[in-house]
Amino acid sequence: MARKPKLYTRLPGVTYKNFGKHTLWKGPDHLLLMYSNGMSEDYKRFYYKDILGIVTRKTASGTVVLLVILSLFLLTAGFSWHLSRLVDYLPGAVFLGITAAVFFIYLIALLIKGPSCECRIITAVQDETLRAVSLMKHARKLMTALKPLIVSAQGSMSADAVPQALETLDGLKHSREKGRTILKQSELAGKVTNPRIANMFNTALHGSLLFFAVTVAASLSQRTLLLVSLAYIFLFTAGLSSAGVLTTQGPHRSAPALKKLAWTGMAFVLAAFIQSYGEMLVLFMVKSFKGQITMDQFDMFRQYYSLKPLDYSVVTVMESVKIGAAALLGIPGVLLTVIHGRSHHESH
Amino acid sequence: MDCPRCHTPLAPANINTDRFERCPSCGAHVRADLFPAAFSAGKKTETAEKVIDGSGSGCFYHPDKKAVVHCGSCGRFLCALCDVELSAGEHICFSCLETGKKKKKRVDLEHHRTLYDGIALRLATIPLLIFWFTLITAPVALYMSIRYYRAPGSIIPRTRVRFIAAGILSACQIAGWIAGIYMIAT
Ligand SMILES: [Zn+2]
Ligand SMILES: [Zn+2]
Ligand SMILES: [Zn+2]
Repeated sequence: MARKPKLYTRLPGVTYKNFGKHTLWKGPDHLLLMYSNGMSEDYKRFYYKDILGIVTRKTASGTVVLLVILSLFLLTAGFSWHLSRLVDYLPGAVFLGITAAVFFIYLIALLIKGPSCECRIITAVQDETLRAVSLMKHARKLMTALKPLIVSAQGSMSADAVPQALETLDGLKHSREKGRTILKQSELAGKVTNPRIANMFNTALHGSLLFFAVTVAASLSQRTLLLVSLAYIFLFTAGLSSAGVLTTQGPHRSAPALKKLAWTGMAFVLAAFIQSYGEMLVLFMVKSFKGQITMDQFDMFRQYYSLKPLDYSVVTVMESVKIGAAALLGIPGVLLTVIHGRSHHESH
Repeated sequence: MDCPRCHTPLAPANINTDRFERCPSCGAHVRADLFPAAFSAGKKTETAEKVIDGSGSGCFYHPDKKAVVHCGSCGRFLCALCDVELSAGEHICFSCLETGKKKKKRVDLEHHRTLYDGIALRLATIPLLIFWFTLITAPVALYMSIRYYRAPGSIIPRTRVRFIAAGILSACQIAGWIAGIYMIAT
């Protein structure tokens, strides 16, 4: 049986973003940009004959991330070494040591990845970032693969035609920019229908994150049913609100930052839920090892909320991480929401 | 073509060198590749020629304009304005383009696809973390993996192994629920 001919083959370059990935594919007469999150795919096409130019720039963001991870590694490794010399803190030292090892592996991975870059593709009507290409090594490989394809569709460029072509590109850029401002105005006119709802969701998201931090902090010395339930309610509200923000936030001034915060908030809520559930499972396993077995999930929950986190250094570290992360998201979130709301109020 | 960082126009000597060059004003490493289409883009002004004194055929949509090609799908004569060039040498009229897009006949016009196998597999695995959810999600995952087994999946080559895994996993979950309910009932 004859198989269907392959329409697309893979080109170098991949960038992971928002639980999905950007990739590039070589089509018979076009370049395919694909974003896939495993549940759906979105495509953009650039025909080889339409590509006017490609501009790639080495960026500093890779180095910045490298330095941040390096400092986190030094911090956790140092703290772990310090704790290991104290008698009572061995579990905490082990936990921090594992964290440091994870940072170390990440550091090695970053070193292998190498410097980062930003790549743009230009046609007569588009100036689009190739999101899949975010590493210099990918950019180099991609250009080696892509250039012959474009040259076979267009022929190669003679050096004396370059100044004239640059002038043409400049003219096209100006008309594109003009078009973009017109488009933006009409987009804004159509989309700013619910800034108040988006603002409400933003307030709910960051407010409940802060309340979550406060309730978790309050339950550090002794958990009670009330505190744990409140924390879960705030966490749940934060999750729902982040979804609300992502669906209603319009294209306005500080909107991209707020959207990014909403994505991060959603990821945090998910991680916190999974972590709590995992903690419950670990507790269940520890108890069953000691012979105090319980098959009842409600009983498990009762044992979970009557736990004294300060008695277990691992739990204390976990709870502190949660408090810190919620505060780090919530405080700038509230500030941005207020600034965003005010700037929006002034513009009307 | 400007430096992406400082927006200073790039020097012609730094273009098409096949390597990263330093921007003279900000020091950024920039590689710029320019293609012949940039040279010709400014000159191309397509205008439809008029049919004079009955020589040549007219466009189907604009009878007074001279036809230059015919639609590869329906055969109608098209003038330079009505012609849509899909790929090298393949011309099509606007109405065929629209119907092709709607019926998804043409793969190279699609810009979105739903991956039912991915959804089914996630529905069959992620709810296991808090297993009560599987009472609802397992039947949905099983239904999806059967209903969409033959539906077009990813645009790039990929097997149906996700459908099979989702089907087996969700069937196991349903069997588990039936066994559990039976045990409680007796
Ligand atoms: Zn520069
Ligand atoms: Zn047609
Ligand atoms: Zn016509």
